[in-house]
Amino acid sequence: MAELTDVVQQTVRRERGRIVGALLRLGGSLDAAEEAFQEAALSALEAWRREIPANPGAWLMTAAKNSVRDAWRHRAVADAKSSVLAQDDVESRENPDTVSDDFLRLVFTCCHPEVSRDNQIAITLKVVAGFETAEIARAFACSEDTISQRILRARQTIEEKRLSYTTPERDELGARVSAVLGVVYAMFNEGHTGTTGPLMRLDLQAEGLRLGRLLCDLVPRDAEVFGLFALMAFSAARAGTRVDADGVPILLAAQDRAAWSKDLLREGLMALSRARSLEGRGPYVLQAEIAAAHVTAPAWEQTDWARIVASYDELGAVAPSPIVALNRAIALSMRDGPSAGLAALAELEGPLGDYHLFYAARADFLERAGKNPSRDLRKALALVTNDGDRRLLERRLASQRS
Amino acid sequence: MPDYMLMVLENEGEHAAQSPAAMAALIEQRAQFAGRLRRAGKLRDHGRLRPSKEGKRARRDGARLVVEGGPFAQHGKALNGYYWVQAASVDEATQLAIECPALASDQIDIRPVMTGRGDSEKEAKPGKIFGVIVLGNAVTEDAWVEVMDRIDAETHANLPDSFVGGVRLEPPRSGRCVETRGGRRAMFDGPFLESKEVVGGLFFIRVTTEDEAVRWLEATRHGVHGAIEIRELWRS
Repeated sequence: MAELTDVVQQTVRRERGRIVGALLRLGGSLDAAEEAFQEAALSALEAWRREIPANPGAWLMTAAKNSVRDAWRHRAVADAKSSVLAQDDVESRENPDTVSDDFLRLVFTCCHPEVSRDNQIAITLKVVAGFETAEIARAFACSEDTISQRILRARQTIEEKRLSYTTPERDELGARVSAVLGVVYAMFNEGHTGTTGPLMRLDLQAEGLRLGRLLCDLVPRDAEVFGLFALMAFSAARAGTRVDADGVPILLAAQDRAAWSKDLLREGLMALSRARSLEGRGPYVLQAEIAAAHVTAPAWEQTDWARIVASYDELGAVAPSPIVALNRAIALSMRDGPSAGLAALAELEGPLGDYHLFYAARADFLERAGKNPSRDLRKALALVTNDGDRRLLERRLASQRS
Repeated sequence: MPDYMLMVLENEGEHAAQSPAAMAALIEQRAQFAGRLRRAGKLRDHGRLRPSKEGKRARRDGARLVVEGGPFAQHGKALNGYYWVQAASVDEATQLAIECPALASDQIDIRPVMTGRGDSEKEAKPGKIFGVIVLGNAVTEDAWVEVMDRIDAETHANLPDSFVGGVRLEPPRSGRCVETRGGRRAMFDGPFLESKEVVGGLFFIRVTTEDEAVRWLEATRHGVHGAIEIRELWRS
């Protein structure tokens, strides 16, 4: 029986997005769509005991639509809407265009810009990916109550503002895709650099990659979609080499490059190649270009810093931010030397004065210029909130004193 | 102008052993090669197939259809890429194959296209695109033509509306083969008929999930001719 539960779970997991999305198209309400899907999943557990259907996904879809129909009948709206459902049933073969539209509708709804970032991530993991509230809470190292609240608030926003009723217009599509990419990337990053708690949470990273890959299939003409996937693949390829046995981060310069995952590097390089063939170089494509320069360098010392500085220049033009400027300064210090880096940092102390990595970078430049970095390391330590980074800074400071 | 299929057969181990820098360089060179062909008006379609270890192959075993998982290799090599080109002659197509960026362990088969329908926009459409490789084991030219006729007939009957182009190839006797020997890329006549199975056709289906592609494979009757393999395409 364990096997049956596995089949049901896998099918439910895989088919959830497109089925809930299709029900959303038919009924308009996220709550009703989810409820119908849950009922279908429960009935599968019972019905598949006798025989697992040849096409489990189609079985679930039919069961879920029947469940919607029952609910309508119950609320006496069946007459008005049943023709829509009947019409839809006629298309028995799954058309990839309809399926991807349905899936996208659900993703766009959960990642709607009107919903706040934390709530977007929580409801996406719950509704699109099908995780339990407890699992999500564990992944974010916060209480179940917190996650329940986020999901609830997201649902309220979606219902109140009727966000699921609107499919984006074509000229709006880019902005909506970009909102989804932001959610996926935030989810992925939460997997390896939480502001509190343990550093590595591979499940969120895997989920981010899975959603990223899915988006490549759903929106195959958007360069940024492939840029984000490449960026995440390059990062995931290095996952096992990012912290030492004590959980302290290992800087890129010291990571074991031979241990990086070749399969993931290839995924990233192929996605970046696709991104380059499409129009537009947005923030994700440019960050992927920078990551590609790093992961293809045979050694830290042989990194193509000129290419990286050029990509940061481009990135700073499309998406200027103090963090981009900080990273550019680091690349510049590698291309032109520590004093060039220090000069580039001078104007960043204002905006980044409370960011520990600003002082960590300045400490590095000072040390390479033959000066004492202790003051900056102490400033960084006073600001750091991440346990791994704190231990790394403590080590650096200790090596100064010895 | 006649059409030719340049089929890139790779030793997947050699490709996996490349350094990341070499991997990136080869991907970039191939993109540039395809771009040059396109600008010269010679390219009808091109693509890369994901590693054969992710593929599935159906084969008729008596009355049963057996579906097995990858990796697959013919003489240690797997079909991982193709360029469908237009060229004045088989000699010109062979010259293009010699110029095609490849590792020394790669082999490129050049095969005239019998009939084909291209959809170079297929990678811009949502869904997953799977390459379907039809492997035949016909030993005579008559048998080959018969095999291709049956595949053609069955393909049209069996194929869902998600058919996104493909080719049917001339008998292998008319093909050529480019290899690197002694450090030199050059043409050698292919010993195609000596090998057990050769590629008879390559076409593409657009589906929503890998499961759907596998269900399609399980329902096919092509396995009766030899084997049929499905491999997801990279979007590139």
